[in-house]
Amino acid sequence: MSDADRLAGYIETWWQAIGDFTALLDSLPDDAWALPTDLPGWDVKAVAAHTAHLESILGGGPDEQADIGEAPHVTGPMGQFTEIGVVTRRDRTPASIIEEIRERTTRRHDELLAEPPTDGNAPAPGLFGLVGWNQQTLFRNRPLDVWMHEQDVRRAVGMPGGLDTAGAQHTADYLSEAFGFVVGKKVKPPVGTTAVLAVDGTRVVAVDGQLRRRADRWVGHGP
Amino acid sequence: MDRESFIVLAGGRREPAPGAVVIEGDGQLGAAIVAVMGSTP
Repeated sequence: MSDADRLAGYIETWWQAIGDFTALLDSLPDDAWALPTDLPGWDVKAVAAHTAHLESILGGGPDEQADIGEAPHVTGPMGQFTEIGVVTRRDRTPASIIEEIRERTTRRHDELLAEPPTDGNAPAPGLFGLVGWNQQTLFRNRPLDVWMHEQDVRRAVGMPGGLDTAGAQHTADYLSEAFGFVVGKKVKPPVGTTAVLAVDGTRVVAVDGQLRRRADRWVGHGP
Repeated sequence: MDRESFIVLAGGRREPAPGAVVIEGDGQLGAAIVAVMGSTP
């Protein structure tokens, strides 16, 4: 598969994930936006604001600055950066945050369709490129991030679902690739060990004694 | 394990529901792997 085809697939999955996420946000009652999520210090509104922040940056929006104050859940430069998008949207209405996500992503989607990326190794734009990401990493990460945040919101508000979407499949496949790292770098079992990860609906990942990764079959997706 | 349990575990969100992760074979090794699976790319 060419870079262009692969990147186009990521873009389509991201676009579907955006549609799923904004539809979920649209369905929430006002009081749901203050419910805490699994992400330390972030409620539903913060998760939506964070998504709007990143999509705004990628959609050509302004560089945002804010004093994030004392935030015990913020650890490290990346946390400080992401918190800015939460702080700058703290006084915004839920509807305006949803509209921002829609407006920015629609514009960017149109641009990406008109001028599709073709080189996965090219540096990602702006801040994402500064942290060492290329286009492949960026376009592959966005559907994962959006879908993970949809699930953060769903767990917070008690609305399970969205587990069979394109974003869900993409995320499960992507995360399963880290299994080799987890086994080989974190656990470091004795040579000769084979560790197998089997997740419903996702390609099985087996890491052998030499910590070589292989995928050999699929697990059926349960009900 | 089911997809939702995997996502919350590998995404570093929370512990999966009790019984959601089935370990076959070397239980000690399996538990050690599950304990450090949180690694969002």
